[in-house]
Amino acid sequence: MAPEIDPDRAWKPVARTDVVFRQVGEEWVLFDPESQRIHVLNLTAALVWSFCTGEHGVQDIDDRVRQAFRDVPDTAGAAEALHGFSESGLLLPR
Amino acid sequence: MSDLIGFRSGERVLVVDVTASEALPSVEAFFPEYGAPAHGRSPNLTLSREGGEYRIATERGIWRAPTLPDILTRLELILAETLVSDRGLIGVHAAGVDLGGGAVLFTGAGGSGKSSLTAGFAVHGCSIFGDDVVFMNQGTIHAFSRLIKVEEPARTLLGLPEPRGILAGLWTDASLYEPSELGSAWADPADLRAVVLPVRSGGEPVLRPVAPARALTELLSGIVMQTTLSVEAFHAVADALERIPCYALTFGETREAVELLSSELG
Repeated sequence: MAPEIDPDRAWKPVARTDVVFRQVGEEWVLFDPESQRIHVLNLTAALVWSFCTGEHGVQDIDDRVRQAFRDVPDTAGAAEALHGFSESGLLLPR
Repeated sequence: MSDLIGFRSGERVLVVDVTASEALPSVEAFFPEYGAPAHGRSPNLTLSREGGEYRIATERGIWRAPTLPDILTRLELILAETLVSDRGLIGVHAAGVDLGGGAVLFTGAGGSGKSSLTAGFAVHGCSIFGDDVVFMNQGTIHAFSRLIKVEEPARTLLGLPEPRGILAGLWTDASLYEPSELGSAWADPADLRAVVLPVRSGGEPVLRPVAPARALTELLSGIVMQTTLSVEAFHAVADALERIPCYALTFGETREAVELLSSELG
């Protein structure tokens, strides 16, 4: 079951600055030099990552993702991607 | 009192001081493809024997193995990675062959068919970069001349003879071959030409394009990384993969897969 939007609506996720975000072919990947892990992102997750600047709240990111993919049925929201980033330690601590 | 173990793998000689239950940094290694002998060079590792198992501990982790051959195979890789990192090379998890003057890499989990495909190309006279790990610098592939593992049923299907036996009589492994035993040789450095992700299945071999990001994750995972993968090295591998085609290969018979790859990529 997909995670729901984080109830902490004041949280504005911030990506770790040492994590590399780049396109490889038509896909987007993250490289975490600390854990030495590579994460392949789908387009939704890539968009969510690009909003993890500390300027956007969780609901704001979710709204922007849904707006960007409004023509794509069954688009997952931001919650799942943010949950994954957080679990993998790719975001700065709250 | 020291218990010195020496072993030979191809042109490579390692002498390891293996005294039970002691931390032993003394390793003398000769890697002709990467330069001078590395006498006493120890990449901050200890080799020990505890409770019936062998163990290598490094800054990056601990590797355990039940037998000396298994742990020395790991040691060989760790030492090689340490040596080549000084030369700007990084180890990637792949087998590889020279096909038409370019390097074609096979990457994937154990049992996916990397070694079988490598042996299959070797018996056709293609030179070899390695069967589990090769080294990479920008878009150039360098051989890791560790012996090639070919197990049944691939050995029988390829009609290979019994291996001669190796490692200066210290132990033998019935599945390890030098390239010359397969009618092949170690490959000279060559530009990366394609990456193939094999998966064993029944039926005819099928080759289809796959996203380079998938090849990237396979190449940079699953092996001992004594040295840390730098951001620059990550970009170098990703850049190289963007310039070449990447494929998924499903196959049953190694011979048929080799024929398909030769016609499509050769």
